[in-house]
Amino acid sequence: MRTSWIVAAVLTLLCTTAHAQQTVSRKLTDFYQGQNPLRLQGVRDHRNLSVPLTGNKDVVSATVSLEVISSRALIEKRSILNVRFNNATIGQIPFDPERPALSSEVTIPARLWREGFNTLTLGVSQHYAHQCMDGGAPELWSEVDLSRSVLTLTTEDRQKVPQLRDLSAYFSPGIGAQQQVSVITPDNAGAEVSGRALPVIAQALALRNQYSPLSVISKQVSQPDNLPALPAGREWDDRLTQRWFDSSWYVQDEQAGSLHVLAGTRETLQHYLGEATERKITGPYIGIEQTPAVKVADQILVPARTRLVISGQTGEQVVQAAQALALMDDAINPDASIIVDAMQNSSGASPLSAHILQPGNEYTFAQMGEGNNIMRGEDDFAKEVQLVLPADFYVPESASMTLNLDFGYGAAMGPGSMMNILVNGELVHGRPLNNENGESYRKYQLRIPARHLHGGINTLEFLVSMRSPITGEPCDDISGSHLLFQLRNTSSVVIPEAGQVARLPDLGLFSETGYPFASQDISGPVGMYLTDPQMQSAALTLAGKLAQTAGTLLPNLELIQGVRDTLTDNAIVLGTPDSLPADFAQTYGVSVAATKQWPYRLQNELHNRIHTLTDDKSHRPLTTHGATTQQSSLGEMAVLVAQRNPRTDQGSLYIVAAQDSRLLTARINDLVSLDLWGQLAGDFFSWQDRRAPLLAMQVAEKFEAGNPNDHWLSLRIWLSNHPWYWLIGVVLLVGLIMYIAVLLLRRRNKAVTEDW
Amino acid sequence: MAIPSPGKRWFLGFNIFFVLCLLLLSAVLAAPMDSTGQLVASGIILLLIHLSGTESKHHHRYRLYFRVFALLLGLALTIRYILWRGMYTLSASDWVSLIAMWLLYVAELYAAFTHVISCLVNINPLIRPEKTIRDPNPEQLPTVDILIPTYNESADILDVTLRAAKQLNYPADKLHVHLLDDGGTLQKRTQADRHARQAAIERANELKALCQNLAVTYHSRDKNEYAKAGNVNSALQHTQSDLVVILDADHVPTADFLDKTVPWLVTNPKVFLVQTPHFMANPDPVERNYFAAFTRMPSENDMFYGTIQQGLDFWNASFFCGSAAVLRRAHLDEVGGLSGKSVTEDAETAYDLHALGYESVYVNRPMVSGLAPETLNAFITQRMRWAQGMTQILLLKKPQTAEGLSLMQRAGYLSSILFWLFPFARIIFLLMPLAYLVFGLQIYHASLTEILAYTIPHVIATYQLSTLLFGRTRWPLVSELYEILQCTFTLRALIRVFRNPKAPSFVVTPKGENLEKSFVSPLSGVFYGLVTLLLLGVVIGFYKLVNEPLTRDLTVIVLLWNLFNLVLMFSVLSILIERKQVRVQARLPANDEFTLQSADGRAWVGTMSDLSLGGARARIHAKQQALPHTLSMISWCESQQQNVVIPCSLLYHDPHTGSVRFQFERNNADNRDDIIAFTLGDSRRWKSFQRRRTRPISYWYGARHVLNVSIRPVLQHFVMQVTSLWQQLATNKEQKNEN
Repeated sequence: MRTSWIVAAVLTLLCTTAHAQQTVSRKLTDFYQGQNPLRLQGVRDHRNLSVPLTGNKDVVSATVSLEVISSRALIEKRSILNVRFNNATIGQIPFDPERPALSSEVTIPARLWREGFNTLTLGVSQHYAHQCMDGGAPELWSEVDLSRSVLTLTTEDRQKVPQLRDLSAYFSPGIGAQQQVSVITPDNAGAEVSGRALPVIAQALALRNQYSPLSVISKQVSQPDNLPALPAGREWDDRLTQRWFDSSWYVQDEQAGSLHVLAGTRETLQHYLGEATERKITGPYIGIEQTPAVKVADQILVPARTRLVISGQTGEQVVQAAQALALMDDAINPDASIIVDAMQNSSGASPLSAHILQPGNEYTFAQMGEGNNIMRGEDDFAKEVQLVLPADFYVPESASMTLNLDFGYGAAMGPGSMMNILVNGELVHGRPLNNENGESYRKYQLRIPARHLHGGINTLEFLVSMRSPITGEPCDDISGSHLLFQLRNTSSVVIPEAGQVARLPDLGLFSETGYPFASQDISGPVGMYLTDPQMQSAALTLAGKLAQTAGTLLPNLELIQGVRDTLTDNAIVLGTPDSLPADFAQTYGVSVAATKQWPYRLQNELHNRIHTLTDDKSHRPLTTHGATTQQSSLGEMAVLVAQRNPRTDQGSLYIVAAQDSRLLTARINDLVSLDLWGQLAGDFFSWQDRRAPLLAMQVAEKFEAGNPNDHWLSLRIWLSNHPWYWLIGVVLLVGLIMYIAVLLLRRRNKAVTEDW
Repeated sequence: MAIPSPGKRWFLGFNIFFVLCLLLLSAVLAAPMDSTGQLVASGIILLLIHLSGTESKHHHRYRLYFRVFALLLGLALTIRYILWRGMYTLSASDWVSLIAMWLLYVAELYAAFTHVISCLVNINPLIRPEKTIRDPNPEQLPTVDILIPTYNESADILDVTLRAAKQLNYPADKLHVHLLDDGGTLQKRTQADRHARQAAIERANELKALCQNLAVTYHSRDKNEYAKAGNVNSALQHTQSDLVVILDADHVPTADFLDKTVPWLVTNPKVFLVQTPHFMANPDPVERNYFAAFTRMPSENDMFYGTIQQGLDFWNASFFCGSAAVLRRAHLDEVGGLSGKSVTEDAETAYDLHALGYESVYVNRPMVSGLAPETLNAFITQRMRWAQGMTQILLLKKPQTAEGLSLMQRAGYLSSILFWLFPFARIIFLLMPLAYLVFGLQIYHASLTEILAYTIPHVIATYQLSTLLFGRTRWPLVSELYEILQCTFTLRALIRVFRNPKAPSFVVTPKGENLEKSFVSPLSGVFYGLVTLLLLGVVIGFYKLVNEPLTRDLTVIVLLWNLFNLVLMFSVLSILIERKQVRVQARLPANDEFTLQSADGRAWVGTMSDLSLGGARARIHAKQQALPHTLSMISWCESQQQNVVIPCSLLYHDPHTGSVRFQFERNNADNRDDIIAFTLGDSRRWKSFQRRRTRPISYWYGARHVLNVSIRPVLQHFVMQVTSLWQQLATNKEQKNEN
């Protein structure tokens, strides 16, 4: 009865609450991975921009403003920039040779928007003459400056009783989704919740955000001694008191319409939850609910809010609920709350294996989530297939990856039609498409040396150029609409057998895969050691990013207050210079502790200058030795150092340091941004904003980590790194055999010559 | 059960430890390593081989240590390469490529295996001291039968051989010379062909007369069964001496032949054979045609007799080479005379007697001079017989599992036998680049770095070891020329043996042919085909290099390989131009002091520069002299231990320089004996000549030399073929006009 009453009250509230509208402006560079400005060439050209939209917003209005520069050679009327949205033309902007730079605003009808990814197409048709035109003429160009072109979107919340299936709408890479979330725990939540459940919750939410960074703000709340004073001389009565405690009274500055997380055991949350909710917590509990607003005399004391409750009767149950949140599929949870009875992983396989290609197996493109790819018309096409390999993917150099391609192309391809295949940007195969009758291949086999592959994300690119046949007659162009190329998703790739070994430290590998904290064997604990409790937000944000990078939950990630004498094999330490132990620098050339130790400044400059000049991304180790020891601060910057763990025999220690906790949190938020995260490299990385690193370099020699699972492979790695040992072994053995052989030869010689 | 003595136990344990060390080394050589590390290690090993090899050439007590160290390091690189090839590089995406890849690997395995056993066999060549019959009591000297089998050689050739045999320094009562005429058998003298029958009768009569004049026993038999072996075995039944010397009809012994060989048989009753080198007094076609290298470059013979036989001798595995050897009759009788299962009866007989536990001795002093085949046809015929015979021994006798032979004796025989299977590997090495360049087959699955780390060091190490072992007696790349020249013909012959091991029959090597003018060998056709294919490979290779950037690494390697083959093939073309040979007798360098004396007693002292049975070229010290046409040459004859006076006639004289050429007058038997004793009776002459041309050269010099020699022959072939065609057309036209 009480429950029914609460639901009715919530519905009433929903109906009476005005629909809040939000306006978002985003540069178009956010939606395009290619280079800016976007250059469109030739008679026809187009580019697609993917614009994601979260599911719990309705678009009220949207415009896109474009900053375009076109060639002066283009003639009016026949040169047009077409703007299409989800394949519907929404604008036609004629090019004017007298006014090559133009700004234009195009309205995107609200009805065209759909949840998920929307396609904004910028296409041109360009002409410099009315007839006898060379389609490849260099004057046929126009540019859209995506950094100055802006998409403006006004949305309003979609009002309904929240269900768990809506979580993916709150947290998604789409416009309108949350980029920030507060995770609130009572101050007496306990180590189990703070240390183990919170990182899992942060990861669970970040995983829903996919690639889009999620800033996690950790807050601890305590029960006030008294209720706040009411305005206009009003007094607290039972109903109002009850409403107060049902509301999200503990949240002070949360943005309207956003979801926050409340985590803790049932006991510790009893003062923060409504009675009805509290009663539901009979085990690992995940619930989403709309808390009522508290309004007194036209003054809203507490606004209505949406909260996600992760709870349980014990700390362990809270952790279990958090793990269920990370692993569950929102779409199949149409309820507002669930109780997790049990979780079992029967196969015992690492969750990483779900989306990582396993060595020794064959995968079709379909299994990798690729559809059949059809390319039509005269143009250059690119099809990219990502091969996500284990971060510690290690193969002998003689190993090969086999590609079995199913592809075909249609008749009447013109000269210059071709298909090139690149692996990680390196050309491995090329084929002219020059059979005038077309060709179709099944199991077109290519053996590609596995040395082209590395741990993490590998890119297999199919670059297809299709050109119309030439008639040989002037002004007699064939349109090329008949040109066709198909790459079927029955094509497959056979990954060679490999061991699990990686060369560390490597922040580049870390940024791609989360290694060494995310590896095939994720059973080992990973400690995130905080020298200050204020760093919890930074730690949770980093944990979320790690999960996004690994593509799965890292269940054994634990927040630990203070740096202990014994660290986990792979550990992350967040600290300020004053709080970092001095022994961390013993095996590493750089110390970010109170007494700084930097490699020689001049060498750094020289090193970096060469890097800049040569655009060298290899980040080879700085081989010159020597360091400057100094007393100084980190200022506004933060430093990420990856080194061999000095307190264990194996594993890596990653240290993130900034001058204080506030700066550390801000810098971590910068670090997890798409701009900066992708620039991680070397083993020393410092930054002070999200644009670019101050310094990225390899200070220490790399070392092998992992488990080859194969003695032969272990031997290969060891010998490859220590060829001198092999050489000395051979020379010593040959020396010994030589000695014995000479003795035997002399004995033989004596026997032969004794009767002479 | 006998308990081994402590010494034997120690030796057994020592050997077991040695084998364990070898097994451990093999395991280390199979250890995997990335190519960058291997590149560093291989480079250092090559440097160590070079340093050790250089040091081993100096005479000091650790010489053998350095030599063995260099050999073992080089072999280690080879074995590592073969293991790496087998474990990591034999995968292809299609069956045809896989077959080609395996063919290449098998050829490499063969080459590596023969290289390894060759290194082991030649690890410590045995250098024997010289012994003389003056050491034992002359009364104890055994009796000797000199057996000279003949089939179709001319009486002139036999005359020289028989006279030289009669001049051997050995007690006359213990020396018996026999001519074994297989051309005058009853079968030959009664054959159906009238002309052949008449020729056989006339030749038999001529030889009988010759034998009568020289006090030599003439033998013949009824049937020509079992060729040379049958001929010798037939004669053995009619002779009784303790020792048997077998000399080919053209093999002229020096006077000290028995003096230097018989003592080894006297002192050790287990010795069944004393083999000596065959010294060729004339160039073989390769030596003659290949930039006239006879007097400058060590011959193929020099490598075999100058190094390999000494290596085999160390392991008691030197074998009978058909001539220039002394055998013990008692031992021959045990195996029923010369064996006749194969067409190389000599090696087969030695094999049988080695298996019975008898010993062989190799005396490395050239004391028999013979004639090499003059034409390429004859040369190829001879080599085909050797290849077939050795392969017959492999198939019929199976030396790898033979009882009675020691491990190293088996290795020795295998080394000598397996060498003759080279045509299979050589053809694959020649054609395999084309499989990639022309047909696009994937023949080698490795990156450029891997090739640099494994393949190139293996190739360099192989050449380093070859230079170390055979540097004095073989020039780099010359063996390749010999092999390429023979491979296509010998391959067919070998296939016949593999089909039916008992099929091949003995074919006598034609000798004493004259070449009156230079001409292109009729064997050239197949090489034109190969050159065309290799040129095609080069053209396609360059096309691939430019147009297929993805496979450029491999293309560069294979193209270089193909170019190497092409250069060798061009050099082979130079051998295929048969140079004319105007002299009947081959002249060899000489530096004897002599005096030319005229009938009126005037004398001119001079020094010889070359010498043959027919005459000599020399320089007299006195200038501006007038020499009469008829003279006598007086010089010290080592074989007779006295001065000889040989009448001669002056052919040429330059009074300004003192240069003279004169011809020996062979008008009576004494003169003939003196000429033979002076020109062919002194083994120091052969030794000096051999020393003169066995000199090591650097690999780069050899390679540069091959390159230099390779260009001209192409043009020469073109000009000669066009000229020949033109002449043929002209002749045809003339004939038409005449008709």
